[in-house]
Amino acid sequence: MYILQFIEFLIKLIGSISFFLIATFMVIKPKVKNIPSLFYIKISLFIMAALKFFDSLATLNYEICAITVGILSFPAVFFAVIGINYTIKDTSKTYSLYLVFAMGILLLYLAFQPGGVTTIEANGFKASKITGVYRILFLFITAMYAIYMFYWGLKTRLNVPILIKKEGNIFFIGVLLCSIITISFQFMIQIHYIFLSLTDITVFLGLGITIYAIYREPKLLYILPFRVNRLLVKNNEGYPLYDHDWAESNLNEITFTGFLNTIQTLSEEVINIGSLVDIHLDEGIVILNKAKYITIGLVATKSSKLLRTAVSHFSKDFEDKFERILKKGCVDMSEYQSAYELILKYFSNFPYRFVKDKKHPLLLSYKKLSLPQFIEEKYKNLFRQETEYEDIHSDLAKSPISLSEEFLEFYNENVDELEELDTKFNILNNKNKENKNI
Amino acid sequence: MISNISDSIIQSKHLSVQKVLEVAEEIVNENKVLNIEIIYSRSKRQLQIPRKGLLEIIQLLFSKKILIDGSKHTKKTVLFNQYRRKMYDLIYLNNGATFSLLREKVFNLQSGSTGQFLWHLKLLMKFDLIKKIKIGKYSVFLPITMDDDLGKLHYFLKKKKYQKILDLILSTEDIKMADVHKNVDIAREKVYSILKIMLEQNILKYVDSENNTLCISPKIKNLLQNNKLITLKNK
Repeated sequence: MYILQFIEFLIKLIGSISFFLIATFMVIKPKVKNIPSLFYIKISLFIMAALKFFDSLATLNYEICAITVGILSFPAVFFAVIGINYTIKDTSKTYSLYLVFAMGILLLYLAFQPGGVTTIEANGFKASKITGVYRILFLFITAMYAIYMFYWGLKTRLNVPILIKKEGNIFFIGVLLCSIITISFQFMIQIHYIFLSLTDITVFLGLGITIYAIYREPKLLYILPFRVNRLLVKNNEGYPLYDHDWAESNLNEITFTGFLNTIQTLSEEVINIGSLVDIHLDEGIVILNKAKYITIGLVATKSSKLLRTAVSHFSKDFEDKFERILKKGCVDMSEYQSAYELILKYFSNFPYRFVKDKKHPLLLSYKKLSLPQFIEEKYKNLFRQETEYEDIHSDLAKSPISLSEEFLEFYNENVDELEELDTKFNILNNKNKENKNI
Repeated sequence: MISNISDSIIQSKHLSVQKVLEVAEEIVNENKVLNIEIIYSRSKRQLQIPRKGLLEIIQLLFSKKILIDGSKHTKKTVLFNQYRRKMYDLIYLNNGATFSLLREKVFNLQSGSTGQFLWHLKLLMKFDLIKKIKIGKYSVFLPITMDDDLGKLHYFLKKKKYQKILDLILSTEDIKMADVHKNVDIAREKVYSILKIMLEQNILKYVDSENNTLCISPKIKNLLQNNKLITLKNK
């Protein structure tokens, strides 16, 4: 065996072992073990490990191993595309999958045709390589995989929430290495044979970095398929018990609570305890779960089996955890705050999306804008209800500073006209009531 | 002061949440703009909390609405409030609205106080989305782009009695004040009151002040034609 041949064999063998180790890591580590979308990517990695192993043997001029490399590329790409489809769209079936399947069948056919594999002498040694139409199709299928992988990486990177941007960047670098850069090196083999070894290095390195980013932050896999906005728990009397937000929702609060109230009023003949209802709206989807003591509503952009399962488990655990106080009819929301542990248990992988930019200005909601005392007193007299007062302060904090005094002038100019109008309205109302009574 | 925050939030993450909030307060007290970058970098430096834990705390503060969006209002964001949106839409769709219409359709006494009602209107005015004119003793809110006279015209054309009188005067070159009452089925005092208001608002003008001869002012005539405004006659 020549030195260069040995080096190439070794690089490929190390690549094979590395893929195997990455796949095994994903199988055994609890953080990534149970994520459904990673299931198919794990299968793909095991197949890639086998592919690289046969590729290393092909370097030693075993023709059958070279044929196997081509054959294995089909299931490796097929399962990888299914896995990526799940992370992008929460479904396996897309046009790209059908195309890969069609290409794969053709690849399998060509694998067994004569002339698909030949012995090539380069850098002083002979190795078995796939050639002709077989090679073209093999390159095409791997290029498809690379482009699709890059598309996934780019889309994830562009949509990553600000709080996990660092992991998003690491993820994208990994994807870039194992997709576009690798496939570019594949095509540059014609220029210099060294690029063959470089493709092995970049694909292993890229995949390793990608998997590391996912391990570090599994939320990366849940950025694209849907967005979770809000979860609300109410008891059977309609009192809110627990509330959790992941993002601002377009769904009107009144509409959302209206659906929750409606589900609560439905009898057991209409909706069974424990059943889930999906309500599709323009603004998104509301997943409702009616349990024995509570009703839960989750607002998201799309329904998914994963979300429905999470809501169902959360509901059951919530009732188990707070059964004693639910039976007593406790409506103090502070008693249910420890439900946050259940949020971490069932919804920990869903990213928060409150702000898009790390420099986006924020406010502390409890910290009031400091106004001159005489203005503050006038505002307190005008807006006696605490919620009203807080809303006004929130608006004031976001408005030009002169508004605080300008509003008082505007109020004084117009309050008499309004009060006269309200008085007339009340008189009219009273007259109508009297007429009705008569 | 952190006393207003729910105790349970502090308890859920114990001291770390409180410390991060103290850091945020410190930033606000220094008159610096509060954002994720500055909260994160300063908390990391001062408190030595691991990155993951710090991000969890910040996420918790967002989800409990302790940290909220602080960007200044723009013309667009002012309309995110449902009442302001409805008021704005009503004013634009109706080519102007009075307090009475806004109270009836958008913000009645059950929706909130008079102060809140006026607050929303003031915000819309402050951000140049609407404007206010006075017609007699009534306030009318118009779209910001609408000409004041056109706004007044729209206001009058919504009232049948005003429309009848305008139609009459429009059909003649000029008419004596006294003759108006004879040609419309409206009480004399009311006719004179309407004519007075329309003169004050420059809808009508005197052709001959000695004879009290009136006509529609040229600008109003143009507005009626250019905007293809429908009067009772045209209907």
